Amino acid sequence: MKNANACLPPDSLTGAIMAMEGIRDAAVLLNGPTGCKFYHGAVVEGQLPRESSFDPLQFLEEFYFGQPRVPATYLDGDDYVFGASAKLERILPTVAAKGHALIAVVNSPGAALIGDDLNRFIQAANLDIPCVALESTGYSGTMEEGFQEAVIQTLRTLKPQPTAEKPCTVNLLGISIFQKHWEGNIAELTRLLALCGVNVGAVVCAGSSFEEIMEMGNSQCNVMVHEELGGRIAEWCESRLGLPAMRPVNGAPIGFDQTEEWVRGVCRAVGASPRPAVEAIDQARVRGVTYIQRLNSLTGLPKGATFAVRAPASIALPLTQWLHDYLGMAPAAVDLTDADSLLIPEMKEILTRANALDALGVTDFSGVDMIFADGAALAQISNPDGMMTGVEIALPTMGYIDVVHKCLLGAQGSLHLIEWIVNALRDC
Amino acid sequence: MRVAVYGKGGIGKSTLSANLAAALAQDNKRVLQIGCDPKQDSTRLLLGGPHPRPVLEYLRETRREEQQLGDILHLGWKGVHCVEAGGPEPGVGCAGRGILSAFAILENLGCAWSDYDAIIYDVLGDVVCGGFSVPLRKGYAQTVLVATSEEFMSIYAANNIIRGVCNMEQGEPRAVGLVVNRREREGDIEDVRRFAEAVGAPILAVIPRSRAFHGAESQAQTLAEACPQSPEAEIIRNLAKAVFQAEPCQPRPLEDSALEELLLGRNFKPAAFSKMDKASQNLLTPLAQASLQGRPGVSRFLSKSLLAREPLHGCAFTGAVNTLTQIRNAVTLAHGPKSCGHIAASTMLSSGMASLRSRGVRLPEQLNPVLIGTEMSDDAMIHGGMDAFRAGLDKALALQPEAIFVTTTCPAGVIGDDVDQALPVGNASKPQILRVTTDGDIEGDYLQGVINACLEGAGGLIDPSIQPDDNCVNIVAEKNIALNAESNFREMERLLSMLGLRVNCRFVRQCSVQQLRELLRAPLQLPAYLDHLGRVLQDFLTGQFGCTFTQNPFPSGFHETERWLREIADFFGRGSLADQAFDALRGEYLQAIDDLRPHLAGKRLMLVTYIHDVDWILETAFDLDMEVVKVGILNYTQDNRYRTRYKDRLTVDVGYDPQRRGEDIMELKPDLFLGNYQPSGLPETTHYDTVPLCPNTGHLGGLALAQRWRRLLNAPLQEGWRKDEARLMKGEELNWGGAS
Ligand code: SF4
Repeated sequence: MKNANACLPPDSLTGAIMAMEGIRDAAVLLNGPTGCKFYHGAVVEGQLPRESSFDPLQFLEEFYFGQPRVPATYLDGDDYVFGASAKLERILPTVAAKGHALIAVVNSPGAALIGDDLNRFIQAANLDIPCVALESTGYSGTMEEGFQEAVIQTLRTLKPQPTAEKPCTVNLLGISIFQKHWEGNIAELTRLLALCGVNVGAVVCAGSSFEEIMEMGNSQCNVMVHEELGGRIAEWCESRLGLPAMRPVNGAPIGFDQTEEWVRGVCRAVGASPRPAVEAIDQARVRGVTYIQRLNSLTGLPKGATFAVRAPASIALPLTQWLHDYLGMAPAAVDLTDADSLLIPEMKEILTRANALDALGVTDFSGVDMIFADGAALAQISNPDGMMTGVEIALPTMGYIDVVHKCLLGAQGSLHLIEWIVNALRDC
Repeated sequence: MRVAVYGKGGIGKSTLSANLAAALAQDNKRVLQIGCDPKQDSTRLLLGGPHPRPVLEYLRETRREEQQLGDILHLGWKGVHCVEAGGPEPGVGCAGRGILSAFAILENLGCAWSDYDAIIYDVLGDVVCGGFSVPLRKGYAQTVLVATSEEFMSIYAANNIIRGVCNMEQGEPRAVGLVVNRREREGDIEDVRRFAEAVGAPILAVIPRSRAFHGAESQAQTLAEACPQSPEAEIIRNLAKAVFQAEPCQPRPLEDSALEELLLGRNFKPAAFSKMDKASQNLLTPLAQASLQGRPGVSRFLSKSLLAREPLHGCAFTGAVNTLTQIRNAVTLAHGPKSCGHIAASTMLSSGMASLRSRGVRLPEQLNPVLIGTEMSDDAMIHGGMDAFRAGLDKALALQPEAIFVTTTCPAGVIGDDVDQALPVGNASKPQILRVTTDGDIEGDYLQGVINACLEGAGGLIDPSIQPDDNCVNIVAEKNIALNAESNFREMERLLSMLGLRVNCRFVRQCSVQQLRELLRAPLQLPAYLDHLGRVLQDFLTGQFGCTFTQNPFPSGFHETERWLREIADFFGRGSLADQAFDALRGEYLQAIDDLRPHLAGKRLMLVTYIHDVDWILETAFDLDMEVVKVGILNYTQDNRYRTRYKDRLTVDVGYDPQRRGEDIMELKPDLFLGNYQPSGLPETTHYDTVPLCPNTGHLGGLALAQRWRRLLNAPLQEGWRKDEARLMKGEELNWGGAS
């Protein structure tokens, strides 16, 4: 039998749930079967832990099924015919009693078909806290579409309004808790901006509170991190809230040069000086080069080492560019998880420069020295010679838990990359 | 005015709606008529015959950037704007979902509801489901006009509609009244009058049965156009005025019995679907009847949750996929949206990755499950997903597998895609294509999916003509997502090799299509567990194929291991090999017990667990001379039969209430409390530890735990970090050290 690449990617349902659970004090209430609940309940608690207890016997009450997150109406065959009115009436006050600042009621794929009017139940429940209804998160849309649609729908419902302008403050767009190292990335970008006197107001649907998001209109502008997760949100905010957006053209701030460019872009937008951050990036360059130089003088590496990347274009593009231009590594495979990205021409340009255009779309990573990919892709590669090294840069994760957060973005992210690379290649 | 016209199918809603629209237009009102019935004939009389292009068809066939309002909004008689929403073929898709999409596109293309004085929605039949409510959603229809005839079933439908309208009221009256569209030329309409009075709805018009309608219709015209002077046209004009000016009312539906009493004067049961029918309409019922017809023997095999009518844990789809993807050289086809495939694949993947990470065991079937999703889109939900299914099936066939398993998700089940009709007829197809009943969780929970996959999928491959061979056994009912499933299997394989036996097939884990076909090669089946799944599979294989099973499941602890090996050795007549094996195993066990006993003897043990067979823990505890002060068995979806050989040595609380844990700990003062998870918020007077949901097998299975207990009892009762845990509980700011 021929082989099948069956690693099925997350879709718009997961994107919507991650967006809403990414608001630090909000809760997703799933109008759907437990079949859709358990996975999402486990992932969100893993990515943004909120509960101090994992004892399922603490969460035995109806709707929770032993998990602290993503309570559900546990739809069954009867409910698909008759609707889930009684459960919806009961679940809303139960979830509200937990003290969340916002509840997002999300229909599962099956529930969206039976047309229970979520807004009717929300109105009837007459809760003290705001609720958002996501009646359909779409079928087989991408995770990024679901994420953005949920954020826009929420902003549309809650109508955040500017109250008092906060100078030198920006919001970060295009980050999700469904990303590897998302917290470390935010911390690093926040650190670099703070050096320049620029504050981060809201990180939209990735760790900020409901209140912070409601105040996002007070910031001076939005700043894009990953375009595929924030492009449409930026457009919406621009037209409805009058918030301009700083959108880098070559993907996320990965590698020293791209990070510097990103910081300069933000500082230009808010009228701050980028100098302190540029100095910090320069210091990181010196530290990084210390280790690259040692590796290089003994082995000639990392120049010429091959690499494979499997990631969305906003990561794959700057990463490939940096690995090739800065470290002299050779792209062997570039597998974009968003194959319709607007960044593909730029990706082709870099690969052409590296004389490796044929690497685009290659999914077989065997024989490559270093692989930057999600945990599932890394786990599927059997490594009989023990020569390959995988660096996990996206979800699903192999399960390694980072107690001290790592990052992929910014100056620290570049140093982490160098650390992974010199450790992987020094014995080659 | 935004009014939705409802009524029993065939009552004449479309004719009524079109005539109302024409009358309002004649009165210089700006009118929009929207047909919400997949029949697409609502606006025919206004447009003079031709069927306009329905919105949903347009949506499907036109690229987004090329879509224009003018393509779907048509100009009818006297400037009435006409739209047909369209919808799925009868029996597939979800019409309600379709109407939602149609309304959304009208709005996106710039159709402003506020531009009209009157909007009339002609709504699909009398279905009392979610689709019914679509036009009543905020911003669409404000009020409802109910059409009925003088016949009982029509009034019955009107009553159901009023019930639906009540659910939509949101504190505001939503009905305007009834229209009687007479079926008979003669006779009274007393029944309708009594009904109207009983529910509290005015009759706004009585429309006689008349040739005038027929005549106008045959010219594809409304009365206002064809015979404006006729008395019937006058009735419609008056009705239009009445509806336009009516104050909404709040009718209240009758109970079915009251309605029957009112109209029939007897306890009559209508043939149509009613609330009273709920039990007989229960979708779980067909599992044992209709949906499994032609699949003999399957209907008896229900999961515990279905049998007990408990809330469903997980979905049958995921359970089936997680089982079927264990079969090599086969493809599992998942008919549904990507999310379902992602959820199912992720369940496998996470246990596969945990196994690789923590035990270095690579399980290709779990790391890269061969699963093809049909990726049903929004469009498939409206028009039916059979095209997506056929495309998925072609993809599966292109992989040239030996077998294809077909599973379906909730959305595919809800819209009623009939995948069976797309499969090749007969069993001779190559590859073998086997349909596994799932429909998401409509057919049941995770465990039901596992059962159906074993019976209909793997079971469907078994070749009954295979002759047994004397050197092998099959393993049945392993748990695919248990972390220790593979290490347990290896240990059992090692013990079996001591008897000179090999494993023929694992039913169903890490096996091939060929091995399943040749399942009957092994004369003896070894159940990994005799929990609910184990018993169901035993019943199935015994009943269908006359298979022989051992009485004992995979053993844990010395006693069980000895008993298990003895039973197998007796079956194959290999007693002397068994004796040699026992000597070796006993020596190891007794030595380990002697080493541990001085440290654990006399210690008090309390156990609260989901596991229904805990003898492997109790044996260890008793052999170490520990005192077992309490065993509490929690309710568990996977098992419902507690079993023990230590009945006389302790009292067991089956169906234990977990809220009692704290109190019991204070009273019984155990040195060690064991549960399946580390509990929180319990007294700090004892050591807590976890036991796996699936025990480690083999003669040393329990002793591995006891070694840990010994270390645990030497540790401080409260570790230092627990003081910091109190800070976490208080919600102190987390410090994500390092990165910032
Ligand atoms: S929609 Fe249904 S089939 Fe799909 S994952 Fe959820 S419960 Fe399972």
